[in-house]
Amino acid sequence: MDNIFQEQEISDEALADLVKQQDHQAFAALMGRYQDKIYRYIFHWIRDADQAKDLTQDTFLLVYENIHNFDSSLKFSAWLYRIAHNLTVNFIKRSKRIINADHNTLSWLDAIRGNFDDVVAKIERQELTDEVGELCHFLPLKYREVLCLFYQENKSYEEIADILRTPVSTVGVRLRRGRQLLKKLLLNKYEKQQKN
Amino acid sequence: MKNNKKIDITSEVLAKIESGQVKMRSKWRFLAEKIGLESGLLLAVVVFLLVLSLFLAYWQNQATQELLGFGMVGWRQVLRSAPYELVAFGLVLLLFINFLIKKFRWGYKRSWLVWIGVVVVGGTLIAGLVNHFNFLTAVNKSFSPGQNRGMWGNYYYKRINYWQDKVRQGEVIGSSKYEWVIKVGENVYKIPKQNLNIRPHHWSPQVGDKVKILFLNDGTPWGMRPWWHHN
Repeated sequence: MDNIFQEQEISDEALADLVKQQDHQAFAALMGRYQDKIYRYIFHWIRDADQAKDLTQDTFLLVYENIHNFDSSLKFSAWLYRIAHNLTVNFIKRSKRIINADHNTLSWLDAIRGNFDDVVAKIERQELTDEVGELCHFLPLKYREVLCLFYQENKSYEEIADILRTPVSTVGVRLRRGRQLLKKLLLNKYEKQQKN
Repeated sequence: MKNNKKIDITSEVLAKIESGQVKMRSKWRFLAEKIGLESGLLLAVVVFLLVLSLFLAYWQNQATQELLGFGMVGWRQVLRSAPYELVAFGLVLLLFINFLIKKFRWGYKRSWLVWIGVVVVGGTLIAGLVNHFNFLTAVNKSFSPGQNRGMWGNYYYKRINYWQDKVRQGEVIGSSKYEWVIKVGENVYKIPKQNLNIRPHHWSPQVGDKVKILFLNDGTPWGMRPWWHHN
């Protein structure tokens, strides 16, 4: 779909204001900017491509329905992620799905065996790349969501606080503890594997 | 498992919007919700502060500190007469306030006007708490027995004065091995020493001493303390 807003440098918040005036092209432009990001974010949680696509669609429908509830002085992306996050968490609770990888099998470790030291070093350097991001699934939800938003979605502390509705200081604490847990978990599993 | 798949759901979403399956909610509805939420929160906070000031007035006027001075038996009396309905109502209000606060859409970019508003409203409410507390104390002093105080007045009076009427000044006019003889107003009470909580290791009343006597609901003298301790 051709969209005059796609190429122009119009802020998300300005586009949201246009959507409030029933401008569907502006809404399409916002979707163009965020649908892949939101899809990836949701997929990261539920590991089901079809379901992630449905939830992405629901997210944008909810955005449209509630656009008058968006305060244009705040960041649109934080508001959008909060809606996506809430929908995803509700979906997980409703379906009672265990999204976590299996803790008992060590097959997941095979994937990073070759560059184990490098992965640990990355955690220490606070570089959570995709391969490290995958390991986040072994962490409790409260750490996982913060790590995912910070490293994979590149959100700032303030934006994460806004999305998760937690104080900024809590975000910092969870991020630090999440990293520590991740490293501990990785080292424990690796040692166990070495013994076997 | 990583998924770098790209999706394009724009046409599906727009089709639902254009077909009228999904409609934009009116801004007035959000405005009404916001006003309702904010006024509800303010009202809940005001009522909570009123309840808190009533509780404080109760605490000050009930001779609670006097009762606590009697040790465990005093504690039991305090617990027996505590305004549990106020405590329960206060807790319900706190839960309600917590629920309303969670419903708020807090942004991390808060205007300085919001902070000024919080300080002004908060200061006003705290001043209100102090004023209400003073009002209760003044109302309490202005009432005379038998006066019709209205529903709230009666409730306040009853709550504030549960113990106060039962603390009366007396004088030790005699003593034997087993009894105290105490004059309270026109009445003279002979009270077995073992029945009266006086904490003898702290204080030993002498004939002629001014004392305060705490009476139970049935009029039985329950405890005795030096009068100077009261004021």
